[in-house]
Amino acid sequence: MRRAPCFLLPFLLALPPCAQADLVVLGEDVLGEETAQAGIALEMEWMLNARPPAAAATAATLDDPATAPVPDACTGTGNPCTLAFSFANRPGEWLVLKDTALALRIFTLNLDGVQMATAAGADTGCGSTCFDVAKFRNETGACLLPTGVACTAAGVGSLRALRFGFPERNPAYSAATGRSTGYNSVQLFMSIGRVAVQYDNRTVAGAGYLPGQDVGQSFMGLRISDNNHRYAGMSISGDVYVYGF
Amino acid sequence: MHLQRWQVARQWVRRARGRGRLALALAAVLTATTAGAAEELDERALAEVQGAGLAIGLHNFSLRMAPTSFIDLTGTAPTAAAAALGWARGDLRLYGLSLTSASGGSDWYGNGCTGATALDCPIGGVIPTLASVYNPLLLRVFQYPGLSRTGSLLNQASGAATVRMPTVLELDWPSLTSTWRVASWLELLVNNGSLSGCPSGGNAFFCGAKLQLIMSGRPVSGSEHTYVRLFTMPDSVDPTLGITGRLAFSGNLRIGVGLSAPTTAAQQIHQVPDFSDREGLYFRNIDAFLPVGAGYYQALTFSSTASRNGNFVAELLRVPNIAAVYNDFYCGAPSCALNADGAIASPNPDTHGYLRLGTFSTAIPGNSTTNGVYFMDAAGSATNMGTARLEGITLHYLKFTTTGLQ
Repeated sequence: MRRAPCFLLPFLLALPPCAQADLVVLGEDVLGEETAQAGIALEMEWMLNARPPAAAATAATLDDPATAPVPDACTGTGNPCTLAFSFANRPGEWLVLKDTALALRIFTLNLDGVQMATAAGADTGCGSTCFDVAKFRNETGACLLPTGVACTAAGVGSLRALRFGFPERNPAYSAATGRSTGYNSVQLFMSIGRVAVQYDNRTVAGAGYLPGQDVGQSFMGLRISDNNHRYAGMSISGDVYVYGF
Repeated sequence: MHLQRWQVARQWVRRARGRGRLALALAAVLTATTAGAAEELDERALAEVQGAGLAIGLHNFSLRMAPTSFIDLTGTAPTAAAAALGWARGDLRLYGLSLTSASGGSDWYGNGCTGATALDCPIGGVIPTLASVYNPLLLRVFQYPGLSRTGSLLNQASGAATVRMPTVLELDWPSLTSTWRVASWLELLVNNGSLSGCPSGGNAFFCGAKLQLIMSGRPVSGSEHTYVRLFTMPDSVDPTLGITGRLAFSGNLRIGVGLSAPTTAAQQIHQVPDFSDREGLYFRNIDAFLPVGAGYYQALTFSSTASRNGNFVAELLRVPNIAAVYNDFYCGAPSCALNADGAIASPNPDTHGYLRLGTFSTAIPGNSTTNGVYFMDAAGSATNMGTARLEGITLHYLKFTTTGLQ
């Protein structure tokens, strides 16, 4: 059985157990032969309550049904495809997202490490004139940047960051065919069939998120998809810098 | 002793394997061992990272969903009692959600637009500085001083609950950005769009309507910018999730329903329409600020209804009747001074919002398209209704209770 890849997505919760392949030590000789001097390119695919497609998907094969993931049978009352929230001091009350399925594809994500003054200085916007010192101070006014780094634009510019970049795409829409092409920086399918508030020990004994508490109730749902594909397509351009202090 | 790069890389792999963060470790290893464009991650610098959160910069950035791709908020069939009163299922689809620059542009078909303003076209180019690395988007945990619901000043990093600042998870938008454009075309569906049994209205092809929404501006207003904060209420009575925030916006807005070429296909359900470049309701020179919650004494909370029947309550808590608290809410100080008219002399700007539609410096002609609120037809002829403003918007108490949910 194919193991689902493990990928950190901070805006998603309640994932199934992360399956990891056996890890291999990166030998010194292998590292020394690394030729990706300007960074690396990532491609990833992540599925929740969905099965891998029959064939590998590429930007050119997205219209082929054989390359679409198949959601698990997450329909019908009492199915186990749920994500539930319970807020503090609200015992026995659950906001339950039911019939959940998700598939995410990123075809090419360039990853690099940069010094921000060098890389971000290439933008045509406000540059260092956008600097806001309040972003880099704590509640007492002390600077949060590392020791020896001034709380100035130059200080921030001296920091290193991870840079994520998406290559240029040529997205287009054809009114003749009613189809979009080239929106494949990120492909996302998400389905939350039903949302409801459920309670402990209501239908069956136990927590409110259990499938047994589902008697078909729902007040809304959410679906992200496309008129012609299973995935919604997005074209993303530019650079995303991620750093901490 | 300074470690060689490969030694740093090996240490990262060993640590990451034990914690399962292989993907991030791989990225770190490759950047640590290259000598080209990638920068070395110095161990001393890494050790000094406080790890309170992430700073995100977005440069030369744009995000465009395909015109045929959607985010669908789906409704449910009404109960028998609600249906008897005329209620029907409602759905909302947002197609082609895009975040692009305010310059240039094309419509959903990729065609250029008639006018030269950001509101003529839904899609622009890349945004030079959506979030500068010098003024980043912050996702972090932090601590802020503030008053509790009992009037205690919470300003200590640690200690007793009566003085300790809560830990806040916040998403803090930049205080200065390039002007951007957000656009989407929407499909409002009644009865899931089916004409059979359509309660009323709808067009000849489906039970619903299509419209285009274009907004151009920045998430700032004056010295205010947008943020959202989540924390546990420092309240012994109800220590639940509390949400506060500031919504700020300055810019322009257009809502349009007219089509440039009303073809049969464009009017059918789910088909991408060719909207008019001009027609619509315009709001020029918007300046808006809405504070939601204050300190740690007023926040948005959630709970089930007492009957536990599937309905829920969203409540912006009432400002407590404690002098230290309501003086802070109204005046931002322990006491409130009044002016000669008996009004508050210095209202707290953090709790008083506003909505300004247009600037008020000069009178505007009836066909102005540079200020205020106006309708425009497909030919570009405008009827201006003037300007409007709401000042001193303060949310003392707000409670939403759903009924009829299943």
